[in-house]
Amino acid sequence: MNEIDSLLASGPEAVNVGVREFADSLAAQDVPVIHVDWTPPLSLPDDVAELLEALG
Amino acid sequence: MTTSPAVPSVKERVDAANAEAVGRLLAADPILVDVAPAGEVVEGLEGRMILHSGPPVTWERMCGAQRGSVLGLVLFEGWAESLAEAERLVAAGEVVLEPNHHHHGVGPMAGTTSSSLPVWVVENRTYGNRAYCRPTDAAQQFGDYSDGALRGIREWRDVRAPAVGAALREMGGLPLKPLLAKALAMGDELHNRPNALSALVATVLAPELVKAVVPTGDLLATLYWLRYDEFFGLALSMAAAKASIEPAEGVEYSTLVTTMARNGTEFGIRVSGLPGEWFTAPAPAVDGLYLPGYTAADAGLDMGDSAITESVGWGGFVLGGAPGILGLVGGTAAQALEITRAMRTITLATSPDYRLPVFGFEGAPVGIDIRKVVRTSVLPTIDTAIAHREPGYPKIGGGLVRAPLECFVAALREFGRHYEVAA
Amino acid sequence: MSHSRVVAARYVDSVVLMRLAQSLARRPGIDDAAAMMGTDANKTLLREGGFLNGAAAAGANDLIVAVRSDSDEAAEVALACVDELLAAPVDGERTRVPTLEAAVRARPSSNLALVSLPGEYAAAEARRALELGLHVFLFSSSVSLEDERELKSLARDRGLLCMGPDCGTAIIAGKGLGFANAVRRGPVGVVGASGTGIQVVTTLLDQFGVGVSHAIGCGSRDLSSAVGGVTALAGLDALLRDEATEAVVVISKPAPVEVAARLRARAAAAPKPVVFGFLGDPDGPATLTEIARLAVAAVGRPTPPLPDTGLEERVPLAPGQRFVRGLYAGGTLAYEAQLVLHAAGLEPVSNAPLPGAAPLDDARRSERHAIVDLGSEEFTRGRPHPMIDARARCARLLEEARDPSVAVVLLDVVLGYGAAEDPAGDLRAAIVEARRTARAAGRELVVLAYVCGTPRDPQGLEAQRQVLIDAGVVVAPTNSAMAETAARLVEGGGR
Repeated sequence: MNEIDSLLASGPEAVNVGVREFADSLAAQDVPVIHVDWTPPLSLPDDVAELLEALG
Repeated sequence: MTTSPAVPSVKERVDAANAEAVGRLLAADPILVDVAPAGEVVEGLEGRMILHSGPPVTWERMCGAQRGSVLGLVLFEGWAESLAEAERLVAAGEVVLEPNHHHHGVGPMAGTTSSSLPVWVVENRTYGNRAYCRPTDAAQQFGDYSDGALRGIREWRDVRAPAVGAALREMGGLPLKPLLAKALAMGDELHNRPNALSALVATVLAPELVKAVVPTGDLLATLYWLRYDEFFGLALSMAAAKASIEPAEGVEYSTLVTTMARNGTEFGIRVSGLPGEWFTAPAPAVDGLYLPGYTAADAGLDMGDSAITESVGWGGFVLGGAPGILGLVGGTAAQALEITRAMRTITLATSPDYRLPVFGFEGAPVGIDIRKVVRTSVLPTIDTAIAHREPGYPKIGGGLVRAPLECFVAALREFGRHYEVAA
Repeated sequence: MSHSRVVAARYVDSVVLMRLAQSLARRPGIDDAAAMMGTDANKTLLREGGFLNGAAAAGANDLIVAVRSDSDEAAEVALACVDELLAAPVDGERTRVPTLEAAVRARPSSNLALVSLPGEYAAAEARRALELGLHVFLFSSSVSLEDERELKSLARDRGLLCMGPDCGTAIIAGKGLGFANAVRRGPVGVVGASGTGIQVVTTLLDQFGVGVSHAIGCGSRDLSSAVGGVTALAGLDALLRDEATEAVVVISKPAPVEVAARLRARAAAAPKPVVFGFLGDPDGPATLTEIARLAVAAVGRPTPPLPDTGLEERVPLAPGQRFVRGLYAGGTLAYEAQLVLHAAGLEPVSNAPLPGAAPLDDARRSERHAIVDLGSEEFTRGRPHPMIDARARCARLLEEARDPSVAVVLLDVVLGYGAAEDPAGDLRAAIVEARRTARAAGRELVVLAYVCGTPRDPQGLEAQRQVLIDAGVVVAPTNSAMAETAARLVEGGGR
């Protein structure tokens, strides 16, 4: 069975990244859900990035 | 443009310095040698001085819980008769406030230490240095200055500390390394969960207390305390951690973190290659669970020197091996394992003493490298207790907190300036 | 009043007890809760907290659980579930992890990621999810076309479904993702490029007693030439294979010729009927209601007639009251309203106009027959969507009420998962105030509303309709009926 067919057959088991209420809605429908406490990836200031380059 | 020939050598020097620094940490041999009044053993602690947790902080900027804890000790020392008088005295600058860390010491939560409060004394036999930690309690160190709270530390001063001190001197010191390792293997992470360590130490101390001929009333009181206070072991793990990592301070070119400490106002770190300097950021909030009657709205910010345990690779760093503490993570065993795995990405070595069965007996992650923290933005995870935002309350909860990235970025920038790294 | 229960000789770790207390305190009707071992010190704490009623005799090895509640019944129910709560594994709750990878490690059977991050991060996270073998529901809208193409080709290579970007709604095996209604299960499969389009058609299918097998969202740009309908094709294929699906309906604005041709070729070779609901296509169904009815016919069921609008009596419009104003939360509903008005010869203007139609000069100022999509990017950048927060729409409604040229205001009220808790209630005060304002100026402002929902939605369809009716709103059975009514009104009375 391919992946899409098995999703439709077995229903979602979800990972939620972003709006927390979407995870709550899924939980209210008895969908297993894990919420990711997402944080934006760091963008280093240039001087720090260069320091890291130098320091290895 | 060509690369300066100094650049690769800086990298090599940093790596070599870190190997040396973390090697010193791993070679430590902490021995519990004494319990004695702080005024007698802590270097530079004299007169009306109170030591506190975290980086330096003035009375004006001090958080509620730490203020409450300071006032409690002013009353405990008898420097004032009433709370109002105590407050006037401290506000007038009559009491000197300094960090424990400036005196080879550490203290849990508010960390307040004054001269007649007995402290645990741990000697690192490999290097001959000593470190100190005040006793844990669930009230005064959280900012509670009530009579009930002070009764606890008075009993410590008058009954338990003399008894335990006598027993330790009788037995010529208690090697902690094997007990720490056993406790870790028994599910402690030695920060929020020192229960196994407490039990192991109690078992060893009991016959020694009898041999030390402590008066029967005091003996019984001390034995009951050892039996019921599951948390006293935290002061031992903290003193052992402090004694173990101090020799790793001041290694030129090392980017090893030698201190993480918080005072409820600021979170501060110190770095081996930049001795004496604090790199601070506002103290973060703790994500936690609360005791009955309290909520997150009551919580003070992150506080305590107890993050010295994470600095040597315990606490949040070994959550994966501490199933008993998982509830504080707010999640599953898999998530605790994930935190330990994440800590591997920011550490320099693995522990030869504590190998985690769940990771196929791979050693625990030890030794935080500021370079790795900044590069990955994986932040050291600390599991900790929570104090009230206002003075006068006992412990209100526990949870997880992450060290602020700003401290590590600031340290890295200063490292670059200090060692003139071509950026 | 506190109620307690003592479980004799039961030692439970304090961390577990804190969690237990937290779970109990969150239960309905419970104000606060405590759970502690009955040591003397703990009993003192409990007494101080007013929790010790009935548990004073507990010993150090007994567990005390206490709740504070005004309702004896709620307290009893809460205390009765202590054993269950203690036995439940921690991950029975909604668990939290720092990364997608950690989530998949924590539950390896995870099969779908919902991504609703700000646009600049959404594509990277969706890519990571696909690489981890997860289907993706990508709610975020501001994802670049290049990223969308790349994500969808990655999904196709891996046999995964990439719903979105800009996918508002899906229903998989009866479970709603994003903004979705509690729709009964049934034989109709849906593939849709528009979230509200899917919501309207699926709720109508529910109302017709037919139901939905799955509704696969593909995102607003999927059927463009640049994307080529990758997700729509994958979804259509899956639904054609799916045993629970007897007929498929495709909902979209008119697709470019080559994309439509690809879909129609699949349909021609399919063993099941496929209804193409290209809304706005002159050769296709004229309204979402018509699309739903064709889908019902495709599974061989009879379609019941829709109830009448209820606006039978003539409304005495003041001279000069000649315009219809639509204040919409749902983009496709705003689009459909324009189609209906256009068909009635009214020439609507909009911030999201029909192809070839005149745009509204300033989206924030209505003129003529203005149909405003308040869910569009210009209104929602950095602000909550009107389906969640009614404030912007309420303010706009009051502005319309002050305009003497306005005869009728159209509102859509979307229920379901993801929507506000009480969307009709959030509009009520503004509606009453708007009608009062008009009346004070000697006009009767007609407020029409369409409620998109089902009786099983968390907000309750009838309850929401009743709130509107009580506020003086005429509730239409469908959006198209609402727009038709509006057109009739201004044609009849506004001259």
